[in-house]
Amino acid sequence: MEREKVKVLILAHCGDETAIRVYLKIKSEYGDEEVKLVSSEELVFAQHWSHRIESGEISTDIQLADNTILKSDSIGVIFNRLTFPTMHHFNWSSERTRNYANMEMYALWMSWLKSLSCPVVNKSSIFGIGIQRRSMAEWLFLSGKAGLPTDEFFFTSSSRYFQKNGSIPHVCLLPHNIENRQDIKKNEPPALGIQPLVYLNTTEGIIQTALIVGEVVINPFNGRFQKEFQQLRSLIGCDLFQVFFSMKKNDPEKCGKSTQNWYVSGISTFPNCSDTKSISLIANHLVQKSRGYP
Amino acid sequence: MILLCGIPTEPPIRLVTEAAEECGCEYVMFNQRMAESTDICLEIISGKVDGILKIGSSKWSLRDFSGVYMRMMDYQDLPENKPSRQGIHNPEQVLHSALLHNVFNNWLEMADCRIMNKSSSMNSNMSKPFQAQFIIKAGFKTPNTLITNTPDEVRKFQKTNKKIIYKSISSERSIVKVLGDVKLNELNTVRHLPTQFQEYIPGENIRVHVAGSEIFATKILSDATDYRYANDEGFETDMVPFELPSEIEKKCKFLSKCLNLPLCGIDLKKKPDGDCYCFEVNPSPAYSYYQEHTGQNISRAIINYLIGND
Repeated sequence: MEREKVKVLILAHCGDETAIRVYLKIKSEYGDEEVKLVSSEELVFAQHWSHRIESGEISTDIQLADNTILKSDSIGVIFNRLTFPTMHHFNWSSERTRNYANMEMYALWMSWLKSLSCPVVNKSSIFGIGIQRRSMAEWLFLSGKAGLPTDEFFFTSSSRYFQKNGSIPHVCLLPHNIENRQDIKKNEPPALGIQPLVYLNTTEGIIQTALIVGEVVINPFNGRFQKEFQQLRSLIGCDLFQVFFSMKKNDPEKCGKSTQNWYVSGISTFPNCSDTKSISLIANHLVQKSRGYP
Repeated sequence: MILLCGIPTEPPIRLVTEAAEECGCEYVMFNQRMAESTDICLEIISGKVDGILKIGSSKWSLRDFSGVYMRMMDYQDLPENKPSRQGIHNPEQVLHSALLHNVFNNWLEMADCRIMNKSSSMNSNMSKPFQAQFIIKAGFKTPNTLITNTPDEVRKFQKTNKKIIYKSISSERSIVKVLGDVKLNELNTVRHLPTQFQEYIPGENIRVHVAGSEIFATKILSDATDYRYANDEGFETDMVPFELPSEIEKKCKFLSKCLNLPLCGIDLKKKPDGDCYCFEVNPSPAYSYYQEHTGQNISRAIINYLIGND
């Protein structure tokens, strides 16, 4: 099947539910011709790749195994869900060769996605190919900078030398790194030896999520923080992301209506959504973005 | 006060340290090899960063530093952190070293002092064609480039461009090589992995170091295809200071700004007809190699930038 133009191109890894739901939504509303879902494996095993830089102009032609041709000037918008390639056909090579092959394909994707004149959601940048790889500390820093109520972050490489002043709502042990909350194991009561620690608020376990899709926000707080979400969008430099809010454990008010007890505990530029409202919003955003392009 | 991070005996760090001492600039050295005697705390409250660095018995607020020169090796490559026959020397020490490395990088992403260079900014070098798009934006010419997995495309590209070279797309270091007839016969291997080919640009190699507002150009005299490996090819290399045309100088400074790399090494080639091509930008240049050959005082320019004297 050869295509001249692709209005909405969705690039995703196998099993990406959000990507599949967005694809099905666009297909059902606008028809099969409007949207094309391409897996990372199809890109890795494409029959033909040609990425050229000539006289300051950049162009890319990709021919997939099903004979679909993707030309850089014939795409309306890209929903970019790529994270990192896996070159399966190098599985039997040495680790060094396998890593080299993966990095080479990653570098090609990074350049291809940056070179396109059509909108890419989310675009490729120095922070990652689409998903932004920033530390948890940096996400909380950016959220606070945008004016959102944010979890305090305190890291010490040795609790013997540095301890957090004032009340300690929560103490966590750092086993490996401080990249994300999931890596941090709870350690109660506080361990005050020489080991590294990170201090975060204790959460009630209730999470509220805001989904930012361009200028539109699915907001659990009845329209509050609109300005802050847009400020955050500008600081991050991407159109699509999720902000996670948690509630402090000792807060007496546990109903989700008041915003004063909620604080940002994480951000993701790779939202996983399955609800109809979020999927429709993303699908509409992509279709809107594709207007004015081939 | 400035902070220098890396291994003190490594030439780029050594030269910056000497330059700081010569101009009486107060500095703190974080020696990566002495991670066990270093501790750090980092606090983020409402979008503001604070913290303390402790080396031995001395402590500094992270806000005391006006500038940071970062040239840290991957902690896994430090001899004390590498597994030996007896296993890992001291797992807690390795973890401590890893966390310091991680936290320094995190802090620098958020700090508002002068930094040479932030690790995120160095990522543009992860993809040469990605970086080439900034090079083009800065107004430089770049060599015709083809990345493909189709042997016939390579043959056509060679026909058009006569002499072509091949090299890695990513930041993985590779030796630039001319594609000869023998390799042409082996072209089918590109089917497994798209490979980067580039038109060969004849001319003089010029390495430009941008260090804050100062700029240093060095002409490299060598007949090797890749002068970094001239010895391996049986060639010699010599270096002399070179005066850049002001137009090229402006482009180099603009490029350094676009990439948010106040310290960078820009690889240029000046063709016999005077045209100037830009190949790539090194975000962590071993500038000492050029300084020691030519006497260009790049290390002093680094200090000038870090103390805000530029």
